[in-house]
Parts: sequence; structure tokens; C-alpha cells
Amino acid sequence: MKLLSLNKLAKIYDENTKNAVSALKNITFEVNRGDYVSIMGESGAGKSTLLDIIATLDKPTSGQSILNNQDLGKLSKNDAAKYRRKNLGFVFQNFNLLDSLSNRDNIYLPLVLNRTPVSEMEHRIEPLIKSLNIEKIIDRYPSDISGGQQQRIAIARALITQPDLLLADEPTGSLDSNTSKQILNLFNEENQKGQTIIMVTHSSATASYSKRTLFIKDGKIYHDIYRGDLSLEDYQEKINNTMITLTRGDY
Amino acid sequence: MIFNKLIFSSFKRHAKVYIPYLISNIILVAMDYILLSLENSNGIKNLSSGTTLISLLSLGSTFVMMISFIFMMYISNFIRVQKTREMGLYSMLGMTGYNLKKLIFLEKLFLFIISTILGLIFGIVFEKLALMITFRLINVSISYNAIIEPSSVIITTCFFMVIYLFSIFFDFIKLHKLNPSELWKEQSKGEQKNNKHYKLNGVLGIILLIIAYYLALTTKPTMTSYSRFMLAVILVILGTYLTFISGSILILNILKSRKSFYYRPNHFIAVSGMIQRMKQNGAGLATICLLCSSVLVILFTSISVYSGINRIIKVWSPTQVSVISNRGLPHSQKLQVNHVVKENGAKINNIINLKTTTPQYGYIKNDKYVAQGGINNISSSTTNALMFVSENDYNKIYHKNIHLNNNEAIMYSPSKMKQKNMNILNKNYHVKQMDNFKYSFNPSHSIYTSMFVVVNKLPNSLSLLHFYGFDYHVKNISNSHFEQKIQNSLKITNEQFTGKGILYKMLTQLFGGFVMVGILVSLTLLLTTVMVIYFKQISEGYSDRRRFVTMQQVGLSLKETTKSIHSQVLMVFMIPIIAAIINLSFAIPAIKQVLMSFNLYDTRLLIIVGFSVSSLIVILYLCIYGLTTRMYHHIID
Ligand SMILES: Nc1ncnc2c1ncn2[C@@H]1O[C@H](COP(=O)(O)OP(=O)(O)O)[C@@H](O)[C@H]1O
Ligand SMILES: [Mg+2]
Repeated sequence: MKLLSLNKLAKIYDENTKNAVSALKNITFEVNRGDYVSIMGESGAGKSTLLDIIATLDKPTSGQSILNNQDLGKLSKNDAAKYRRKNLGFVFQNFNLLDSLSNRDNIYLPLVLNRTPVSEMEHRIEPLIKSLNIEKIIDRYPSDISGGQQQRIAIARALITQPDLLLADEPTGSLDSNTSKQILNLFNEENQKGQTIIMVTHSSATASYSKRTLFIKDGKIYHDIYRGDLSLEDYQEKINNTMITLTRGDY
Repeated sequence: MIFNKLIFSSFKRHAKVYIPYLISNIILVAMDYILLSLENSNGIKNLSSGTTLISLLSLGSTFVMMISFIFMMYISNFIRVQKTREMGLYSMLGMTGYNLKKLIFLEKLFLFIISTILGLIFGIVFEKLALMITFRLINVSISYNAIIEPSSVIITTCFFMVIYLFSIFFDFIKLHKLNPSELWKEQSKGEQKNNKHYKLNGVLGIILLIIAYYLALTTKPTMTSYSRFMLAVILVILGTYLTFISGSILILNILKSRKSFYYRPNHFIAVSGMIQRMKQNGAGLATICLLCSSVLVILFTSISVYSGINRIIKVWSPTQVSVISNRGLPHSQKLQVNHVVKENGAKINNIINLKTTTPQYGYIKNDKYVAQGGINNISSSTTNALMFVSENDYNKIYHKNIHLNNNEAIMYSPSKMKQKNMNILNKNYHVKQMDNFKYSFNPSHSIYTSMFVVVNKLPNSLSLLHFYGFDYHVKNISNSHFEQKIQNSLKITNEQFTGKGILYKMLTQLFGGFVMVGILVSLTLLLTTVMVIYFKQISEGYSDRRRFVTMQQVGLSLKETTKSIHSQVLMVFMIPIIAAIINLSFAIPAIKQVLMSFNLYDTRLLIIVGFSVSSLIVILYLCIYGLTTRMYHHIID
């Protein structure tokens, strides 16, 4: 079932100036409910730009991004903010937790903004505490815990709104490889429960955890591969090979 | 060479901190110099009230030096924290402890030389202006000679050298305590720690404030009131710090623990943000509050006193010239007066002769006047000086024909009383209160309020006091000069002789000096306030920048984010000035008591002065807010 569709999406930064940068060109793809899509590309390829547009943090110069029949580009800035906190969840490379809030309150933040009753919030956080294994740190502050733990809190914050779509921009970019694996396993568990995920990364090891990988270069999508029944290692090799053809430029 | 390069590149990088640092350092040097050299200025030394003025000035300069010291320590600590990272980087790149110390030393040396030289230049220029304004205020025209006051230059320079040595010392300690990796972490350290005692401290702070306010409210104008008021001031300082640092967090934590209140969009962001702000800025805000409080109190008091001069003169003597003696002026002396009058072509009118008993000092306890005796027997509880007037004199003064019984009396006191029955010197009287007594005077120019009691016959046990006074007109010479001539011809002391012209001149000098010192001290305090606010805004700006981004990502719109952060900043910003006005309003009753005892008190005037001083400071404060907020936005964007 179709959840998100991007249609001839383009983004030009600083349009009509000398410094105009064409960050995205004619991007078209669809994402179904329950998908786990990774977007691969080198630094500067336009991955974050693409994710920001899907996340309503930025607007496309042309084209549409449609989530659940809602054209995201048509939302006003205020409506976009409300839409975002109701229907989308984010995980970032540098966690972006508020250090003024305890970990628990950081997780509650989007719900509080939605005026969710306290009892409902408490009800929703319980399963997350268990599945993310954050019982011990829940009442401490972000500045007192490790990066991996912070990322778990950030994931809990993203998931507690039960979003249609979970967006992650280099979620393991600041973590060591062991912690990265734990976080990625968490993503897989959530995906198995039905959570749709779009994850941006420049690392094939990270991308190999997903079910489908899009390759982006200079703002354009060049390949769209599926994992099928491949194992983690085989899929990573497939991604690597695709990446090599892409950088060599022989397509 | 490389050191110089590093230092200057660091100045450039931290220009937002160093420029205001230098500006305030320069102004503080200038202020210290101005006060010190005014203190040593011959022009002031030669004034009739010179010694009093100089002791006032030295009080002011001590105060300003104290402020300078504290503020310089505060601001160099701020820079120390800002630069920890940089130091960590240098150290990781292989600089030894010796190199780092050299770097710090050279940097401080450079700052010291620049700010001291510029500060002294400004000080020398503006000292002339300050002297001019002072003379304007104290109403004399005097030429001044010294261009540079060498001893003040030396003292100021040495003083700031000591300040710099202290700050270098603390820099070194900090270097020793940290290894490179810790140097790196320093800036991002969370502030959640060392707040275990906030509950105790918060409650203690509030209790201290309540005690201080109680002391201020119940201050009576006696000799002990000064120490009592000082105690209140110290308690307010401690209480304000504790309350701002811990009390605010205590209250916010209580709010936070009420889930149904806390978990609402506005409260949630505001309360958590405020907790963080108060943790980071509690001390800074308390400092701002106390600085504002001092400015308010100092300006309020000095302006009230200055504008009350005419009142005090009126209360001290009913006529322009008056002489108080035990036996009355002998005929020969009256002739002398007449001689001086004729010599200067003066016209005399309204001659008064009044006989009273010698003042009995004491205090009122319910319906009893507790007399302690003459001026040598006063104690800390003394408030009044009581004098009897015979009904004969009273009838003469008012052209009346009243007959009082043995147990009847008419009473007057500038601090209005309501008693209907009164025991005075072990005798019970039915008393009638007068609103006014034409010839009310203050026999020893003391802070003790005069009380006049009209009775049918003066008690024999008390000796007498003769009051002789008159008004006059002179054209050829000034009033004070004329009065001086009369006093010289009578060969009597200042205690016995009162000339309103002389008095006016003396009080204007004294209170004018008071205002001048008040203004200089207030200016210093205001400068430091501005700088503390500025540095607070800068540091908040840096920490809010990240918060801004995160809140938007989580789904707060730009408008909501801006609004919420603005209202927090404004709220946190308004707390100190509001608390300062609260402090002032508790200080006013105590100040009022003191002013009242000097007869300087006038409700209308007090309200006008209090209101205008407060609004002036609030307006100034909002301007500072506006300006520093622009800086804040600059950082956020
Ligand atoms: N705010 C911006 N203004 C101008 N150019 C930008 C902006 N953000 C990104 N870019 C440019 O757009 C291109 C894509 O950037 P980005 O999406 O961040 O790449 P990635 O996340 O794949 O590393 C880059 O060339 C970058 O310089
Ligand atoms: Mg990126």
C-alpha cells in the first residue's frame, strides 16, 4: 500500500543568485507502508536535503511530496510543524535532545506539544522503555548518558507519536560500530512490527540493514535495489558493487 | 612572535567578549580615578563642609573599588570559561604548561596596559567634568588647578595591577586542575550537578529575605538603626543570592512535580527552560537584582535628601537668624547686632523672643514620655527633645488669651501624635495636639524630633533656654556673609547660632556632594549591570541556538519556538528588576524613618522621587534589554 510518493521533486538553494545550488533534480519514487528504505550517497549528494523535504523541514522548489494523500509542500509553515509532530518521527546523527529536559521528558516532548493526556503518555512510554532497554537511564539527563543511550532516547521520542513514517539522517554517524549495530537492530525490530522507515546514510554497512536502497548522486537517483532474501553480508556486497559502478560513472 | 599572533587571533575570535571587557575595564579605571582624585582635590578640601564631603567621597571610592574588584573577577571568570576549549586545543597540539602560562600572562599584560592607560586618560578628562558638576550641585564657583592627580594615578594603577594578578592566579589554578581532555569537556558539562542542597538553600534564602524585610520595616530612627539597617542589607544580599540560585529552582521543581500542570505545551517548555536558565544564571540574575536595588536605593536617598534641604532649614529655625542661650542675649550683644545691621544697610523684621525649658531628651512609650535628661544622657532609644513653653509666651505669640489648668497642656511635634493623655516628667496632663507651632526650632540641630508642650507655668526644676531670632533683608552682601558677620560679632559657636543662609550653603554642599557621590556610584553600578546582562545574554544565545533547532525538528513551529524562548528570556530578564523594586519598597520605610528624623521627609516628594527613579531605571533596563537582545538574535541567527 502506497504511503509516500515523490513526484519530480527538485530543490535549488539560493535560486536566482550567483551561488545557486541544484541540490535535487527530478526525484521520483514511492514508498509503501512497512518499507525500510535506505538512501545512500556520498557527502554532498543531496541526501539530507531530500530527507528534510520529506520531513517538511524544507520546501521543494518544484514537484510534490505526498504522504497519505497530503501534499506536504502545500502546508503552511505552522501547519507543517503540527503535521510533523503528529505524523512523523525523526532520528538525527547528533541526537538533538534538549538538555533542559530529563530523558523521560524529552521522549514526552512531541506528545506534550500535541496535548496528549498524561495517562496516555505514561501508557505509551512503557513498551518503548522495554523494547529500547532504557529503563535505567529514563530519569537522568541527556548530558549524563552515552551517545548510544542518547540515540535510544531520540528513537523513543520519534516512535512515541506512533508516526506513519520514521525518518533517520545518519542515525549511527556519531556512534561506534558496536553501538551502531544495536541501534540498527532496534530499527529492524521496529520495522518488523510494521514501522515504515526511511534512513539516510553514506555507509554501506548501515544501508545493508534496510530492505531497499536508493542511490543518489549529484541530486539524482541512479539505482533502486531490493534486498529480497539476501543475507546482511550479501546485501552489503551488492550495495558496495552498485556504489562502485556509481562512482566510476560507467552507467 | 607566535604568542602575539595567537593572542591577537584570540582577541578577534572572541571580540564579542573582549570588546565589552575592555570597555568596562576602562570605565572602571576611569571611575576609580575620578573618585580618588575628587577625594584629593583642593577645591573640595577648602569647602566649609570639605571634611564631610571627603569622607563621603572616600566611602564612595572604597565602594567603587570593591565593585571593580568583584566585577573584574566575574568577567575574567567568564572569559576563562569561554576560552577553556581553546586552551585545551593548544595543550593537545603540544603546548606545555609553561607555554600556556606565558600565553595567559602576555594576554593579561596587554589587556592591563591598554585598559589602564585609556582608563586614566578618560578619568583625567572626565574628572574635570565631574568636578564642574559637583560645584554646580553644591552651588559654589571654584577654580581648580591640578590637572593630573599623581597619587590617584598610582593608587588606581596599583589597584588594577592587584586585580590582574588575582585573575592570572586563578587562570593558573584552573590550568593546573585540568588535563587536556577535561579542558575539552568543560564547556559541554551539564549543570545538573551540585544542586542537591537547593531545597535547604532555597528555603533559607526566602527566610533570610523575610527577616531582612521585617528588620527594614521595623527600623526606628535611633542610633542602633544604622547597624540594624546594615544587618538588613547583608541579609538581603545573602537572601537574594540564595533565593535566585536555589529558591527559584525549588519553586520551579514544585511546579514540575505537578504533572497536570507541567505537561502542557506552554508550561512544559517554559518551566524546563526556566530551570535551566536559573541554574546557569541564578547568580548572575541575583547580581543584576542587587545592583539594580543599590542603584535604586542610592539614587532615591540622595535625591530625596537633596530635595529636602529647604524643609530641614525650616524645621531647624523659624527665623533667618536665631541665637539660643541659657540666659538670653545681654543688651550689649543686642547692640552689637544692631551695629552690624546698620553697617550693612540691612532691614530687620519679625523679631522673636521665646523662653523654653532646656530640652529633655527621651522617648515616648504609650502615653508616657520617658525623659532621660540633657543631651549627654541620650541613649540608643532616644527619639525626641521635649521643651516646655509657658502659656504666657504662647498667648503672646498667637495673640490669644488662653488659660490652662494645672493638668492641661497643648502639644506640638512635627511627627504628629494622637495621645489625649500624657504623663510628662511624672505629671499627668490632658493634652490637646497642635497642628503647627510657629516658632518650632531644633535646639541642638539633632536628629531628635522637637516637642513643644505649652503649660500654665514652666516647671521650676528645669533651667531655661532663651531663643532669640529675626528675619532680615540685605542688599549689599550675601545672606551667608551677613550672617557670618553677626555670628562673629556675637562670638558664639555654631551650636548656639543658626543662620539660614549659612545653613543652606553648608547643606547644599553636603547633600550636593552626597548626590554627586551617589550618581558616580550609581553610574558604576549601572555599567556593571549592563555588562552582567550583556554577558548573560551572550552565553544564553550560544546555548539557545541548539535548542532552537531541536524544538523545530520535533514539531514546534518557528513562531512558537521564537515566542516561547522570547517569553522565557523576557521573564528571566524581568525578575531581577521586579525583585529590585520590591527591595526598594521594603527599604523605603526604613529610609523614610531616617529622613523623617532629619525632617527631610515629605510623602508627596518621596512618592515622586521613588516613582521617577524606579521608572528611569526600568526604562534604562528595557533599553539595555532591547540592545542586548539584538546581540542575542545575532548569535542565534
Ligand atoms: N542551506 C543550504 N544552502 C545552500 N546550499 C545547501 C544548503 N544545504 C545544502 N546545500 C548544498 O546542497 C547540496 C546537498 O547537500 P546535502 O543534502 O546536505 O548533502 P548530504 O546530506 O548528502 O551530504 C550540497 O552541495 C550542499 O552544499
Ligand atoms: Mg547530510
